[in-house]
Amino acid sequence: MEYPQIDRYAGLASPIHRWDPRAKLVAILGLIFSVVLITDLKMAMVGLAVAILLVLVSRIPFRFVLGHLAGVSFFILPLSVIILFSYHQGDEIARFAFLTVTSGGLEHASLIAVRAFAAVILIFPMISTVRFDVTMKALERLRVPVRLVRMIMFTYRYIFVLIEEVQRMLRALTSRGFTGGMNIRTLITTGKLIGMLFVRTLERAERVYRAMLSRGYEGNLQTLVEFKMRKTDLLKAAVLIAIAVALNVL
Amino acid sequence: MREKAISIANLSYTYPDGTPGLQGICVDILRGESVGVIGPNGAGKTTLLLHLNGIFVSKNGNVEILGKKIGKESIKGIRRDVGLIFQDPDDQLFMPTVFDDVAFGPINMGLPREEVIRRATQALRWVGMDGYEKRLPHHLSVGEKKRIAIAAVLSLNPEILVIDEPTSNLDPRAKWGFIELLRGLTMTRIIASHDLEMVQALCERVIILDKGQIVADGPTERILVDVELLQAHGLAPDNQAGQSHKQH
Amino acid sequence: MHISDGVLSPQVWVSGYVVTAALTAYVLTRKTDIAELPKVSIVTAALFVASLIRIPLGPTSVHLILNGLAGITLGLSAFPAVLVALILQALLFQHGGISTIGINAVILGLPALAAYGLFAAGTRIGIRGRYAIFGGLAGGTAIALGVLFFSLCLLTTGEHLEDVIPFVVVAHLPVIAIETIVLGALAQFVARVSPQALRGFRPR
Ligand SMILES: Nc1ncnc2c1ncn2[C@@H]1O[C@H](COP(=O)(O)OP(=O)(O)O)[C@@H](O)[C@H]1O
Ligand SMILES: [Mg+2]
Repeated sequence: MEYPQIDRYAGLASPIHRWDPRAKLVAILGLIFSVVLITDLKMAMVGLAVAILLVLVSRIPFRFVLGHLAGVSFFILPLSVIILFSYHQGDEIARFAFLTVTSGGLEHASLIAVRAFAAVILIFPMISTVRFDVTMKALERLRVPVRLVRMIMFTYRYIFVLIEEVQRMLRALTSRGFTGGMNIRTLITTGKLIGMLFVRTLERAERVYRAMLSRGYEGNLQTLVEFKMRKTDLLKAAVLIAIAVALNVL
Repeated sequence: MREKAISIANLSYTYPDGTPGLQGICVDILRGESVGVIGPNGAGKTTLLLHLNGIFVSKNGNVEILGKKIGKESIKGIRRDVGLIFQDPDDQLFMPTVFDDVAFGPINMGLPREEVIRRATQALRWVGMDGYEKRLPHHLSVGEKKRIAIAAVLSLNPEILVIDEPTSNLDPRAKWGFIELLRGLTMTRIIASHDLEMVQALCERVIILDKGQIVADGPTERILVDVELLQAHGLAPDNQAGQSHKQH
Repeated sequence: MHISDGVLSPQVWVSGYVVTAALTAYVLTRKTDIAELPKVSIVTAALFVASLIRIPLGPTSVHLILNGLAGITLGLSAFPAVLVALILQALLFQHGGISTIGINAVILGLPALAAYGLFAAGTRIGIRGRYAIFGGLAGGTAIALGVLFFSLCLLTTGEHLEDVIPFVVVAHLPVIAIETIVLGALAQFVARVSPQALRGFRPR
């Protein structure tokens, strides 16, 4: 079970790290939404190039990015392969036994894959270059509804606490001979384990709530944050927004 | 005579599921006193502490803090006056950063920004954790978390500190460092624990709680040497091995 | 069952955002007491962490989805809980996508609400083993409905994805079975060790 470590490179120095988190969020989100709207393969490739360029500028190691692409790859690669063989348009360009690939199919499969990878790679300059607690505060300053941001904040905080708890429970199970093989027993044991986690979490939730009450909680969850927007922050945002627009109108 | 900091009269509490928590508790604690509440697991220590700043309010009995009865109008002030520190610091450090946590109380009190920052900074200095403002709770050791939890309460300038099991899960060095820290605080202190070493080091008075009732109350030097009393309430090992089985 | 960016047509993912925004706003502002918010969040964290547990399946392993569990344990708040979990999965682990957060929340969150209804209604019937039965049913149904919504998205998005649907369905059949068994065992266990936990924690 892995701890989230998306912001482990937040301490590096780069123009993207120095960028005001609010401007950065807005601009790169703009770019992500622009990339997914692209319908032309060449433009999508340009989008992918921009994404990779931003990662390079941010100095985030590329192998860190690649390590995080498994989830998307598991989804996108099979999907593109199915499209490649099932969507027929234009000239036939290859044939394997009873499967044919057409130029239209190749182009469409590539378009989907390139858009998907461009979008997911853009998450890194956006999220990995700031500490996640700061990202959450930036979201709040951007007027994302405060209740939602608070939920994200508490959930994020307790993910770490509960991962430890689950690891302790799993260790205890293993020491009592639980092997986790592929059988019904494993599923039943897992169900009980999660049930136990849930019962303990409810108790913890109650204790946390008491701790909040005892420090005067009445529903107010302000935090103090200092963000400063400089001209260069806006300039960087303007450049990326211009690219985002260009990707879809040119 | 010193003023009463806490006055509890005839307090009983039963959990919603029917588990008895406290029965007929009567006790006065004076300003500036440092009192240890000891007792075996499940004795009701935590339940008692939760009554001291109105997290639990029982219809049976009366709890007065600094002369004010706990009730709807007084609750806000009482929560400021009584700082409650929970056993598991992960229950208490719920905000994203150390600073946010220490500032949580002052912000809820509606203090202006500068005052919030001043108090948070000062509280962190008191517990020797200055420089930790931007740190994340999940990257701290248990000892550090416990110190931050104290700071999060000190930032409210409480008159009374109520601490649940301060030394649980601490290694000896962290424990004695923590005891030193608590010794340096001068407000009224109530410390629940079954760590007699710590109680000896910090408290002038000891209350023994068992099965929700107060079974002894007196000066530390008298209670902690009464081996039979301690044994009877599971606070000291029995002389003859094997005997403990029969008792339970 | 997390759709990534770059696959769906804007009509589909924009609709996803509209539905998600409306439902979330309704539940969080009308149906959630601000005092309950920390508790809902901490249970959400537990769901998130539980979904990191890997279940062996053939040569690989799968993560649990547990949207049914969200429904059983959180009632209406399951919808924002699923949304928050998806936001965090997209941002922290790059499961799913950014433009698809809304539609993914619909795909998993509506079935969570259905699981809640099914479990709440079913466990009122006084038969033996009702927690195991309806816990399992809720768990399996939540996944099956998710697959259905997922397939509908692929079908209506107009990006020539119809041929993907059979693969999606087949790939999820074992997941339906797994979640049925896991949630059945879970519900029965919780009903035994802490019966109030299955009732006590649902905002009105
Ligand atoms: N939320 C609860 N619901 C029901 N019973 C509880 C709850 N919390 C504590 N108890 C019970 O109340 C008694 C006193 O518990 P507690 O005050 O936590 O003891 P201590 O802190 O001395 O170990 C125990 O029997 C415990 O099982
Ligand atoms: Mg206790």
